[in-house]
Amino acid sequence: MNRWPLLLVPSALLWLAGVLAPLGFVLRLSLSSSGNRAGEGRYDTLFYEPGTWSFASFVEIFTNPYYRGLFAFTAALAGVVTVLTLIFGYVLAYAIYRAPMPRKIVLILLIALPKFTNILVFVFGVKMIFGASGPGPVIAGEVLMLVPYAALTIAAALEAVPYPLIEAARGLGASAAMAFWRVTLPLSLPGVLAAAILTLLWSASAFLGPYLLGEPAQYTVAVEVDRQVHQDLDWALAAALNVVLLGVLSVAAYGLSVWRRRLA
Amino acid sequence: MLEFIGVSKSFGAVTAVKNVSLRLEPGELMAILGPSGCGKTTLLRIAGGYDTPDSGTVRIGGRDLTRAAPEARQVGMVFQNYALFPHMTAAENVEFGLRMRRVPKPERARKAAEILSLAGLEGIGERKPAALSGGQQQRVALARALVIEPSLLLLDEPLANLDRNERLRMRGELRTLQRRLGIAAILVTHDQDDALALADRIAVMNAGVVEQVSTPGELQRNPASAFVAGFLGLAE
Repeated sequence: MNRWPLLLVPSALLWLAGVLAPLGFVLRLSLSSSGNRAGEGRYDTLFYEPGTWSFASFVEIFTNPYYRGLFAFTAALAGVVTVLTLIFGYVLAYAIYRAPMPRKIVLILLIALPKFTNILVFVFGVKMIFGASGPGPVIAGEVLMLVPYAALTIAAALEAVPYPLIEAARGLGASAAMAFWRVTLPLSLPGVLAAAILTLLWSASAFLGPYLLGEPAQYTVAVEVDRQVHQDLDWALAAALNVVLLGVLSVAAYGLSVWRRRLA
Repeated sequence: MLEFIGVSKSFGAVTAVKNVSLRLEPGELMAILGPSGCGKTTLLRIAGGYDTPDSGTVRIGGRDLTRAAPEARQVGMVFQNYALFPHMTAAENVEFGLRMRRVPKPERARKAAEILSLAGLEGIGERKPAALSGGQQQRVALARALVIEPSLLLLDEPLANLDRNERLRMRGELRTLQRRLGIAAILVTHDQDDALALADRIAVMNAGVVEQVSTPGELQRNPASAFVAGFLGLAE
């Protein structure tokens, strides 16, 4: 008898306790009234009013231009990072695709290598090369962090494109560039979209990069959530920010995956 | 039509093709016959520009095209697994070569329909390769190679992936089509029956060397070496 569903139990428990339960808590929190937030250190400080129901935090997010600007900036940053990551990732993936066998493995290992670096060491490296803080280092840091994932995802899709297809295109009169445009690129597009989903989700919820490499002008929604939790102590607002971000990203990811499924 | 003059090609330590000289006449169908690894596919790839020889000359239609890229050759090739573009319909596959030549859309569609019907493929133009049988895929690959009106047709084991009935039918169709278009063709195969049934002349290859080039009848009457006799299954 095949009892494979039993093997799902550990991850299901972990997922329930580690993802679904906190998510439910955040959802409930976002619909609570803010606390009195009378001041740090005061014994009766409330981060939120337990047991209350309120849309106030959402109203605040959708009406206050500060938050609209914050979301617009986060989206723009995610867009720029995703496009750059896909371009660099594709070029790298293509090198892996065309590399002969032993060198292919070496390349894949080299791509994974930066992931063994401590994130702070990595961040200081980025600061030294791209500048101490500002939009430049934020974008560079995010792209550098994400390119390996994009490259490996796209490389997997490229490996499924038989090279004789490209030769066939050349034989039919296509230049190398034309064969790429008409054959290789369309056939690897599902991999590109998978990488786009990964990169977009990651960069839109970026926290460490903007926080450690940016100035306040480059702070993202995630940084604002942290500020609300730890400084302004408005947990209801922090939770609502999270819920809105989650909603926007779910719609974007769903759209991309529908597009991807239609290609495959 | 096609001339190999002293062509050699090595991959690392392996010599795939050793000093091969061959001459294909206009309208001729020549089979290159030999066991796997004998260098026959490499020779075909050199004719198509997919591999460049280490030494020697390749002439097509009198022009030295030894180092020309595939797209600069006007040669049609049918790959062993057909190499149809899976994201395009059969018609789009066939039109690809015309599109690369900037043939206007109406003419493209007309030519594609014409060659598809010539290949016995009416009504399947809108299907993707995955929805076609092996024999149909084979015909699409052939139509795609022929629609560009190549001066030379290269066939890499064109019948290897077909079942017995399809194979016998395709043999006949291939021969008829090639004769009708009067196009010179090279067919690479490891199957002596295909070679004997289809070719005007057969070049038998072994270990990178052409052992004998003869008509099928001559080959069977006077095999030049023990290898040729053995490979054809003839008693000595």
